[in-house]
Amino acid sequence: MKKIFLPLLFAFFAIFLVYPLVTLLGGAFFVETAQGGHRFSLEYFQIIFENSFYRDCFANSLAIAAWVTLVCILVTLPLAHMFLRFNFPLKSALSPMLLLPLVLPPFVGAIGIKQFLSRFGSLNLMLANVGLVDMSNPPDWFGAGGFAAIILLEALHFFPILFLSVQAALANVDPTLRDAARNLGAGGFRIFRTITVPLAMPGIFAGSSIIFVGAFTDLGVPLMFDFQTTVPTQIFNLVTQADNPLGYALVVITLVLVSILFVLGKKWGEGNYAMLARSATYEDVPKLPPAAGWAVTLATASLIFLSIIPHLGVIIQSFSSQWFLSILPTGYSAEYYGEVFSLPLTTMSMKNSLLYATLSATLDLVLGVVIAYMLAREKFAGKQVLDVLAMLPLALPGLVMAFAFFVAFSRPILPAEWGTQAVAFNTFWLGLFDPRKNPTLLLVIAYAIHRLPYIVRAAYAGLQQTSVSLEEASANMGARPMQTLWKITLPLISANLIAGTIMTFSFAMLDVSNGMMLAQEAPFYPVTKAIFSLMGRITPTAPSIACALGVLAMIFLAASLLLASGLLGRKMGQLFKV
Amino acid sequence: MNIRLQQVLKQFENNTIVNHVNLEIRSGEMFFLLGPSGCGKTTILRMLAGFYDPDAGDIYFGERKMNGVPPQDRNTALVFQNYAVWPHMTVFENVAYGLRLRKIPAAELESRAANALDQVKLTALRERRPASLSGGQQQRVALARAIVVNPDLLLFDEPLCNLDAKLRIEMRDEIKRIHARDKITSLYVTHDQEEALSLASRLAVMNAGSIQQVGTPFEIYNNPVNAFVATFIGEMNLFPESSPVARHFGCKDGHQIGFRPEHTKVSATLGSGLKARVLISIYLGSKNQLTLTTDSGEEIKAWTPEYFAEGAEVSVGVDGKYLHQFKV
Repeated sequence: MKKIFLPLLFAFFAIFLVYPLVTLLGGAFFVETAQGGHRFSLEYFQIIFENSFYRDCFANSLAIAAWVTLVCILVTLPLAHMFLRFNFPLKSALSPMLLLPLVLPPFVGAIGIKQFLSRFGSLNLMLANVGLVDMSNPPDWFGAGGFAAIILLEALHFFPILFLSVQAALANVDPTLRDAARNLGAGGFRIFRTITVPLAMPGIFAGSSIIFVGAFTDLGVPLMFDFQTTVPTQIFNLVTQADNPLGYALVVITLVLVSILFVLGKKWGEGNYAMLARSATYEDVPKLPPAAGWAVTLATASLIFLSIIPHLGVIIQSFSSQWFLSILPTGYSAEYYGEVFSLPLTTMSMKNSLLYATLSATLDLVLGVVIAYMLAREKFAGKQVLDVLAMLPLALPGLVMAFAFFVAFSRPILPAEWGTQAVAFNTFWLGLFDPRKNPTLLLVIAYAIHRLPYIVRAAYAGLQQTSVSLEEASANMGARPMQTLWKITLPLISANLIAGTIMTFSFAMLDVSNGMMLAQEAPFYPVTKAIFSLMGRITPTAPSIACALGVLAMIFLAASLLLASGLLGRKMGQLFKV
Repeated sequence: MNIRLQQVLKQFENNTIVNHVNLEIRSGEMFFLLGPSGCGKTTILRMLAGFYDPDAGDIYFGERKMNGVPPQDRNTALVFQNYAVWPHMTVFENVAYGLRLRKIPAAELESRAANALDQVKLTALRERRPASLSGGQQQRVALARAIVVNPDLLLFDEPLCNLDAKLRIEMRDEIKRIHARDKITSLYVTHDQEEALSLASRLAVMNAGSIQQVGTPFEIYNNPVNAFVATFIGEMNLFPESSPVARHFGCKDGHQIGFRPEHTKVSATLGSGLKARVLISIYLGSKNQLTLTTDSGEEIKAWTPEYFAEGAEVSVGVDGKYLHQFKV
């Protein structure tokens, strides 16, 4: 494989990973001089740090990320502990429901929550009914122009991811280490505080850093609340101004922040305690006494209810023909689902999303199989480099990649001074990629690159679990390498491949950053951008249509995930582990 | 088909695994490579299958030089240690795979695969998937898959070592029966001397990348060329030249002397033999397994038909034809 594919792969990564990043860094660090040349400078960064508005943006984004992370840790640590160590009523039914928030992009949930929590929303009306709120001056649950609501929505969306990694981290702590502490007379909380949590810290930190980065770079939710003073919204505003270097500098600062966290998380996550052998003892999972048990059940159920309020809001809104100054809609209709399938904007967006997702999943499948096969089965110079390139997108938030893609592919690649052939090539190049003309190819590649690490890992894991002698037996029977690949290798790892492809597909369907930034014209909008576009319209039915589209997306993602977990024969939770 | 290795060398990261080996496997014989783990026997087998290429030296199948020929163009058939039965195919499809690759017409394919399954007594299980088969049954599938393509060379890579003792003997008999019938040129790699002695037409004993001795099981057991072969196959009492026991039996200069426990004669009547005392006596019914100790404190193993009690004073003798002198 390597002879044919290695140069192609390196060319692919050079054009679609290295070139955009280099363009990004060049734009941020090089200043045009009066003579028309370029020189290295940090002045754009200086401008940003001296500008109080951008400082506010960073302060807000950091605060949002910190609050989201803190809330998630405070919620998931006791929750994961309870789920691991104790039995309580309805535990097995509640466990999968904790993952429900993941099936809805948080910005769609924002539409739903607006109806409930706005000044004249359901909650205040309900409280007014029992005399707790004065409707002439209702409290603002969103807090500071949406700041609190953004934190709430992102926390509700992200906590299941942290729950999974915290649970895994706690479960990895050797039970005999806790037994030793108990044996010396430590009580339950003391053991948790002095033994369990410190030993699980690498895993907790790794999970928290994923959430921190996710919250810091989330574009959809602040945009939905029109909360402009954040880094992602400013990057979004600056993306179309390719000649404004501040956008580059903002993205580079974000990238540096993320990289620091990523490196720290990796260093710490693979941490000091990995050497400890885990002894093989059975763990007793005691049943909580009824009162305590039901208290935990109730708390968990309330959390789940809270976390699906946005979903419920979206579902209710999608059926409501009239919902104004009332707790629940005063009129219901299913007509918005009909409109979703007849409005040009929504039908086009569904077609576009399906097209982008199908093409990117296919591209990822091919790339993933080839790269995983080479990494798992072949020896060649540059293997380490290929491995790093294939995994690099994990450390690049969607926001950063989307911005880099936009600026790199909306400009000529060769200098015009090189002559007419260079100019002709530039025309051809921009015709192919320029997102302002037709973002299809770029979106497909952007989605594919984003999810490539996941599918490479899935395929690689499959190959690792498949004994090489099964392939050798085939060659020994007279099969050429390609015949062996088709008849033995691929069928044996097909479950991993299908599951990985479904994941790519569904994430591509619901991605926000790339679609928002790269698709500039309505005919190319994916579903997510169509929802945004609808929410921005003043026609009274637009929110309901947007929600109907959101519900369809939700059903679609839930079905994909169920299918993927069914095919892999694993619990849903394991699909989300990085 | 005649198989020849000439001065074959294979190294991995500067470790010489196979060191200038010369070997000939005669047409139709069941040739064994016997040796401890890591001696290079599996590497030779994999070079014959084409998974590795020799770093130096040549491999010939008949008159055809095989260096650089990929595995699929060799017409060998390998029975793997871990079975390597494809889990996504039925038993029948596993067996038919090689035939399909050889574009055998449907009717012939059906009858040949059915015949091979019949040979290994798996006809009843032909539509089953490997996951529902026992280890022994999976190894039968692997065997059927290998013999059905009429290979020029049949390769066995420790095929029985993952099976339990009873199944191992059953499979051994099966392999012997099939070889007796089809006379496919075979190379069988193992560290189990019992398998080698019971199945081999001829065998080669390997150690540290080199062939120590080639011969029939009888030749190798009765005339081992060095101490390694002598102790690897069967048991052997070994004494260095300087020891009193070696001097008693007349050890040559620069040699060590050896004799097998079953050739050690033990007598209760103290004659001209070497004097010893019974240290441990284990009664096994068909024989008595003794550990003797001499006045000089050396231990001798002896298997005798008669019973001796522990502590008994005995004299020890060995017929001259059973004394082996090994160069040090």
